[in-house]
Amino acid sequence: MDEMKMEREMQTMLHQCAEGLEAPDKLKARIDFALKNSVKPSKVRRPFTKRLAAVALVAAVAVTGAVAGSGVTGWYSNTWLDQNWKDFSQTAEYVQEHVPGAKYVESFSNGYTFDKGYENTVDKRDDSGNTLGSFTEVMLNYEKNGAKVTLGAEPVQEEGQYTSPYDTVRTVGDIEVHYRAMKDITLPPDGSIQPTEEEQAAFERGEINIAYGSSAREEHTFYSVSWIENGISYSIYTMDPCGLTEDDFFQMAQEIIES
Amino acid sequence: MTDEELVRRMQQGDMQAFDELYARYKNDAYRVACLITGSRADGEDLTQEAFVTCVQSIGSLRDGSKFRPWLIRTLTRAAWKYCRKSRRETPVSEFFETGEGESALSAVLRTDEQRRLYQAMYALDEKRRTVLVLYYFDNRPVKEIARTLGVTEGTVKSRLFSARRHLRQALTEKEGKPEEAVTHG
Repeated sequence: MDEMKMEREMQTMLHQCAEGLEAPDKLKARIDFALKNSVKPSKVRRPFTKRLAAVALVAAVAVTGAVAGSGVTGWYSNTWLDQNWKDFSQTAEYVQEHVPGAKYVESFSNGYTFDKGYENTVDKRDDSGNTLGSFTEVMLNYEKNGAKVTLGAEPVQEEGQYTSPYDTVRTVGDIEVHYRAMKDITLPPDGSIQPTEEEQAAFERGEINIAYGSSAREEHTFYSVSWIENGISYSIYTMDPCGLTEDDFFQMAQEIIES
Repeated sequence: MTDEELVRRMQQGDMQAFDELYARYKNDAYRVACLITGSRADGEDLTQEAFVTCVQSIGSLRDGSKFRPWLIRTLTRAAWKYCRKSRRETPVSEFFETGEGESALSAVLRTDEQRRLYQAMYALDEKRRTVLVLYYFDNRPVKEIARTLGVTEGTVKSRLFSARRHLRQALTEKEGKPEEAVTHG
């Protein structure tokens, strides 16, 4: 079959397959139900380290044309709440499939133990909402007496900013580990509540983060420790440290690095 | 009313504007989803996910006139994720060749060549299959497909080239087996 004929056959084949395909009436009801109950997917403006991405671009425009030319102005995360793994070995397998070489532990010496694993797909978008790229991040939740921390691992992205002047920095081996407690404001994704001018300015200076994805305005403090090793960005974080100190965060980072 | 006006109204909380956009694009989205997954049921799930995601993040869409490509992009990302998950659970050959999708969608095909193309297309990975659907079914130019998928035009061309080569090989191999009818007969 020549090229032209094959192309015509492809068009014909696909259009024949689609003949009579119409969205069923029940679909709209399903969508309305999902929206009303926020079943899935849960879509939130990426929290935490990647929330610094937009700030990074502001800072990077002057120093690197490559980053400025990328056009990426924000990272957006899809968290699939219904897709998670309670089994550690299954999670480990998934981690190696999507972030090869990533390190993790089943439990930390302070008693935090693996609870479940899940994934985020992070879209890189420009100001018009066009997706310019994406990557997968794997997350492992750890729990101790109801207190939770999360370990995230993902491939390092060129436009990402992974450190800030506000970090406390220590060295583990030859790796710089950064600790930070950062104010986070989460707003509804529909734009119905906007940050104040002062908050927006603080966000652009990298002092606070502004995320989108809640039903009402929320304020939190994120506690995190982060580092980069072999092209993978790691972070351990929580909004509710339950007594975990800065030293505890550094110790947990060290256990991952040395695992 | 234009998409841009409807998106602006949605961003102000007007869900009737969403109803209008849904009515406008539900069939486009559903058909693309069915063709990517090869299944009506999965197409329905993915269409739901895409519209829900779009509503939940409508505040981030700055150019309302781009609603349709934004919807299709959201749909394709959900489809890839779905296909990856399905592959982990079901051998792809079983999923696409003997599942509900194959029988449901390909039942209308009228020639052997079209059936062979169909089978060859569903032997491709989801990214190349998506490019084929957007190019041959949705009639989108390479540049627009690149924008929709968030990749370079070169990547789209490469996927198209690779997919066409695969389709040609599949057709040639089949054409080179004249005894097949005897075997089955």
